[in-house]
Parts: sequence; C-alpha cells; structure tokens
Amino acid sequence: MFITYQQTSEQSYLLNYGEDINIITNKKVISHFNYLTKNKFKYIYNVVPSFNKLLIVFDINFKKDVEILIQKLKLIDENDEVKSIQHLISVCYDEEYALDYKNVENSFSIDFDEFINLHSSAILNVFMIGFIPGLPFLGLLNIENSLPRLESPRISVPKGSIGIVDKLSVIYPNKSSGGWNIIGKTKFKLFDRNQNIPILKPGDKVKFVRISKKDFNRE
Amino acid sequence: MKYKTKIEFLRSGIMTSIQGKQIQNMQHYGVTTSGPMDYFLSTIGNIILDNEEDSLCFEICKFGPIIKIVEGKFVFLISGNINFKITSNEKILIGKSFKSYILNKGDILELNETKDSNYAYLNFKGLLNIEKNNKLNSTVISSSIGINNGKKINNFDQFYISYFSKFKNRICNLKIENYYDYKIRVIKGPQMNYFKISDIKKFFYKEFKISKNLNRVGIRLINNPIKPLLSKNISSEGIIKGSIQVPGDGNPIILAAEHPTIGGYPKIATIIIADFFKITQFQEGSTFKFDQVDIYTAEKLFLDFKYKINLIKNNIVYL
Repeated sequence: MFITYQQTSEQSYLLNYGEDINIITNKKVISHFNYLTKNKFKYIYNVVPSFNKLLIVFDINFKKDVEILIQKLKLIDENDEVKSIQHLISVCYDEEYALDYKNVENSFSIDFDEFINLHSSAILNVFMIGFIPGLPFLGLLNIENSLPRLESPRISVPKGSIGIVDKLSVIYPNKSSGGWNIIGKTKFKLFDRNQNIPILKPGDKVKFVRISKKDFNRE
Repeated sequence: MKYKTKIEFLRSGIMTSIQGKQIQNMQHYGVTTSGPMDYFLSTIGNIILDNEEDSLCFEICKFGPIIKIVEGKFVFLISGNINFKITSNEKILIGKSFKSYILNKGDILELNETKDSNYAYLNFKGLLNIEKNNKLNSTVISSSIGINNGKKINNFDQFYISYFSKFKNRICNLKIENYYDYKIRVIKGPQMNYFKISDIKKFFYKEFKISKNLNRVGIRLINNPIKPLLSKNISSEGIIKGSIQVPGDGNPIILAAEHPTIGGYPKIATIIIADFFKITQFQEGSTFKFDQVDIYTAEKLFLDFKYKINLIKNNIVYL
C-alpha cells in the first residue's frame, strides 16, 4: 500500500510507498505496477515503478477515472508470486575497466579485491529498469559506508560498465553520460533491440561472476 | 498500399528527425516518450493538412535539409519560422510557412535557417513507408530507438510515401508570434520542499538564461543558481517532460522530449503543457522568468490550449 500520493502535473500522479530503499517496499510498488499493466487501462499512458514510488501518466480527459483507480489501488495488495529469474552476469573487474576503483577503496575503506568478493558474492535484486533503455538498478550490497556519485558526471561511460553508488549497482547497457563510480565491465546484453524489451525485469535476481581479462576478451 | 512518391535528402540538415505520436507504455523499459519538441507547431501543421494531429512529420532543428522529389508528387507544408525555397523547372520560388505546396518529380525543396527559433516542421500528406516498429512512432535519437531505427536523417536517405491524389492547396492565415511569449508558467514540483524559501522566491523573481546546452534531452539554465537544501540525491523516481530538476551546482535542467525515464535530482517545478512548447524555441542566451500557477489553473490552461489549436481550423483558406 502506498502512504501518500500527489499530482505532479496535469497528467501525472506520483504514489509514494515509503522513504527507504528496500525490497519489501519495492515489492509493493511492483505489485501495483503489475496490476495496472495487466489491466491495460486505455487512459493510462505510462506506469513507471522505481525503488519506492510509482509514477502514473494519464490522459487528462480521464482524470476522474484515474482518481477512482488510485482509491481502488489502496485496497489492492496483490502479493502475486511473480516469476523471478536469476541471471548470472560475468564481469571483468580489471583496472582497465574499473575506472573508479580508488573511490571504492577510499569511501568503503576496503581493498578493491575485498570489494570484488563482496560484489560478486551477493545476490542482488532488480528494483527497476530505467534512465536509458534496459539499465537495471540493483541492490542491496552489504556495505555500511557511503560512496557518493562522481562530483562531475562523465560525459561518456563505456557500454557495459558496472557502476556503484552506496549499496546500489547499475549496468550501463550502452555508452551514455553518467555519474556512477565505475568498477568493471560486462558483455551481458541488457536490451533486446528487435523486440524493444529489456532482458531483466523488476523482481529478478542478479549474481555477478568475476572473470579474468583473458576470459573477458575471449567472450 | 502503393508508394508512388519517392523523396531523397540531398542534405540532411543539422538534426532532422521523424517525429509523431509520443511513445507510450515503454517508460518502465527505460524508453522515453520522445515526439516533437514544439508540439504546437507540429500539430497545427498536421491540422492544416487535414492529418491526424500527431501524424509523422520531419522535425528540423536550426538548419534544414534539401529534399529532391525523385518520383511522384509530394504534398507538404512548413510549420515554423524558417526560410525555404522551391526550385521547379529552373524557377525559384520563395516559400511561405503554413501554406501547402504540391511538388513534382525533379523539384527541389531547400530549407535554411530557423529564424528566432530552434525547431520547424515539415508536415506532409500520405504515409511514410517506414515500418512502425511495435508502438514506436517517434525517433529517440539519444538512445537509437524508435522509428527509422532511432536514427536522425542522414545525407542521401530516401523515403517512399503513399501517393496522394486529391488535394486542394490551402493557406492558414496565422500570426504565429501571437502564440509565443517569454511567460513560462509552472506548477510546484514534487521536491519543492528540498529548497530554502528564499531560493524558491529567487527561482521566481530572478531571470534565467538559456545556456548553450540545449537539445532534445534537456535544456540547461544558467545565471540564477538555486541550491537544493538537501545536497543528497533523492531516491531515483519516474520523471516527466517539463520537469525542472536541480543538480548539486544549482543550475536547473528542464527535461525535454527525450528525457531520461528515471532521475535522482530534486525537482523544484514542472512547466505546464500549455507553455512547454514555447521554451523549446528559446535560443541560447535568451532570458525569461518563471511564473507559478496551481494545478487547477494548469488543467484549465491545457483545455484552453487545445481549444486555441482547434480555432486555427477557422483560419484555413482554400486556394
């Protein structure tokens, strides 16, 4: 159930399910997201789930219907078991690709090798897909210290780069601008350009697998 | 469907792309909504031609293309403030916006610079032969997705268009400057409370300037930095066109047609739909102020805007 909601434009509402980033809150968001997409309401243009919020963009001529629907959502707590897939994603953490490994060492006060063990042993949850096509937001890493975004974002992050901010990780499906600390690179395909759909979906699990530079180049 | 008209871009222009209906139900995949930047101009161009309001058109940015009619007839109209000329049988004709033309095989249409604006539209009759891939009826140039394989127009690109036999030329008498001004109205953004009251006041009473960073993804503003009170980013959430997000340096970014789908910067305000198209035409260095309205006024202004667009039909004269 969401806690509050607000109209953020002539044609959008933003529903808030809680302040923290955690899997329980995100599951509530995804359950409402699934309900809305399954029912294919004609007057809804977009439904965008994130960690703890759900954005609903609608046809302005149907505002009353959307308001009724949001009231109805309050009563819907579909804890339907959505099939969750675990994806193994091989990553090369070589210094050539781990552009910001020093930030990781400094902020987390650990050796980069220790961090790699931590990053590649965790089973991470896919919270949402977005920013650019197919980019997954993954978490949570078992780390207490904070690692902020880069002070000035990179104009061009290489395709396949793995990024870190605090307990979260992302993978850049394509070359893009971005402010996350880069710690490795993968060749895993994240977006199917023929069908225009992402490979991962919210609720899926990801486990990173460390590979050597030699194996990475052979892939 | 028979495609009897063939056009070729002898010159692509700086950033010409095919735009139409906004992309829907894909934002949760990370695919943005896209569509024309100045939806007012693209819409009235289509209305004058009796097309659907969001039919495909060519969006021209700053400096336009040269198009040759290789086969058949090409019925088009230019919506916007741009110089263009038509070469037909070695005669040169200076074109007029909001007036339809019928070009024949061998004719050449040359679009030059946009005047006091960034975007103009080439609307046309008939269907483009481009496969509408899934629900994607616009080009997302920044992520190479959408119609025309997500690509902007390149030199020597060719397109087929279904032949359109019956057409009566027309002109719309329209004072376009009446629809544009420097008044940009906004409603409160989802994180306005992340800013100090004195900074919110400054956001409204001081002028902003359009920086050189303006494109289909966003428009960066300078000269009036507004620092978020909470320097920490918010947890990323779904974002929409027109939203004004403020990064740590305090220089706001207005999210435009190809905005990222999710963002983590606090958003101080959202530009209302009835005004957003105006700001897409502001050129680098222009200055302006924001005005605040409430959501009910914004909704009413949106309906007024739709009504105004409809009234344009009354100004069409058949030639």
